[in-house]
Amino acid sequence: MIELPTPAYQSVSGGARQYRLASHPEIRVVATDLGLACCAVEFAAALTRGLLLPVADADPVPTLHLLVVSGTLTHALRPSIEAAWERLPEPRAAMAFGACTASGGPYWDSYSVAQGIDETIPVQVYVPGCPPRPEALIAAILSIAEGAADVIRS
Amino acid sequence: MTIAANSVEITQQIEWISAEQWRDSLASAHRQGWVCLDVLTAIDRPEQREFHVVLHANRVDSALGQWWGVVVPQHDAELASLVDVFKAAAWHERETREMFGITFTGNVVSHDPTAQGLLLSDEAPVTPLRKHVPLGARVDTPWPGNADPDPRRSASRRRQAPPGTRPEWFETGDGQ
Amino acid sequence: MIEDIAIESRGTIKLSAPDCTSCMLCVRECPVWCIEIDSHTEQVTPEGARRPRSVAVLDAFTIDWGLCMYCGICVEVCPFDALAWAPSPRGGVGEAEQLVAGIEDLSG
Ligand code: SF4
Ligand code: SF4
Repeated sequence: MIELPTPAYQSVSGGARQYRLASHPEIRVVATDLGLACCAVEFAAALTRGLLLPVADADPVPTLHLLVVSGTLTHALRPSIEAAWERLPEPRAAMAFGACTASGGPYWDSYSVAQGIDETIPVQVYVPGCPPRPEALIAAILSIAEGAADVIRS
Repeated sequence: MTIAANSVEITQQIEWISAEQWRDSLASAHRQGWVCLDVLTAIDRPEQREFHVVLHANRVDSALGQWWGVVVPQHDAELASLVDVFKAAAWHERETREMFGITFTGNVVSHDPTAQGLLLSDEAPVTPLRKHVPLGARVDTPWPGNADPDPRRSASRRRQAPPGTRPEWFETGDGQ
Repeated sequence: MIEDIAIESRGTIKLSAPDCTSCMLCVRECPVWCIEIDSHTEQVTPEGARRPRSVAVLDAFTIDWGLCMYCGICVEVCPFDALAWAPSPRGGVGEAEQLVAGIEDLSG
């Protein structure tokens, strides 16, 4: 199995890639970037445009841990995203960001590509697009925050 | 190789080399500064019963890159390995062998018949990038383009192959 | 937030259902087979006309956004400009099945 670089919340300074919404500091959703292919550049675009800010330290207050999976999931990598999901602390949720993660996207016909990440981990929100725009990422994080208000605003 | 990007044609010349000269020519290119191999792959040309094996290498003293190519007949799909010229060729040759069935003489792994499965799982089709190998899902899934609201029109319509498929996939059961 | 981005860049595709003649061109050119159309023909006699003529009636038009690769080929090939890019990105949905959008969703 290939280890993916997503150390969920042990040491943020140790290279974990976790972010919160710049526009809504009160919303305690911490997004972890798990980029497998091209859609990941849209996550990066959200960063470079300042829509997301790095989280400096593990938040002591209740926080929803959100795994944002973007890019094409091959069958070979399925155990790796499963492991990344398992390492994510509760309460947690996963986002399928882009067509490949939703259903295989343009690779629906492929011998090597999984038909979406929900065959492997539970998905709370599916964001269409090839790739989606950064705004769609922000909107989806907001919608997750709305659904998890009891968890993160308690 | 011609790449159409937004109808602007980016044309890069391929320097064609004979199969016999493949290793020596690339060794000499390497000595002249083309040291960074970033692509080595093949193109299946079933109508010509041949492969094009193409290679792209870059310089490190400038931003230049260059393509080289060689024609390999499909009945004798073997080519000298470049592992002793470019270390990175080991991976690419293995991948090209797995995807197209081309053997690279001198690449230990590419030559070892037991060394399967660099990238493909056991369930994957053999040499999936050969064009006769069907994308199974495209054969099994009904194409939405078959529907037609106007029965008169569908009778006269020239049968169009569904995009992303080849006619031979539908001729025999397994497309082999 | 999005004014500075070209309208073509990956918002969504809108359908103008009254302009669609069910010609099937978009369905047949879509590389990922993610458009489906269901339609039938009806005989209508326009006022003043002597003979009835058949018109296509669109019963269903879906785009599966879980497959669409935003290539824009459907928009390019439509001879009646029934499909067009629109700027606002599509939002997320809670179930994968909801990524299949019908006439109402695509016209909104
Ligand atoms: S933009 Fe989407 S629906 Fe249109 S042709 Fe391309 S893949 Fe198909
Ligand atoms: S190409 Fe245009 S008119 Fe023809 S079926 Fe598609 S949307 Fe309708």
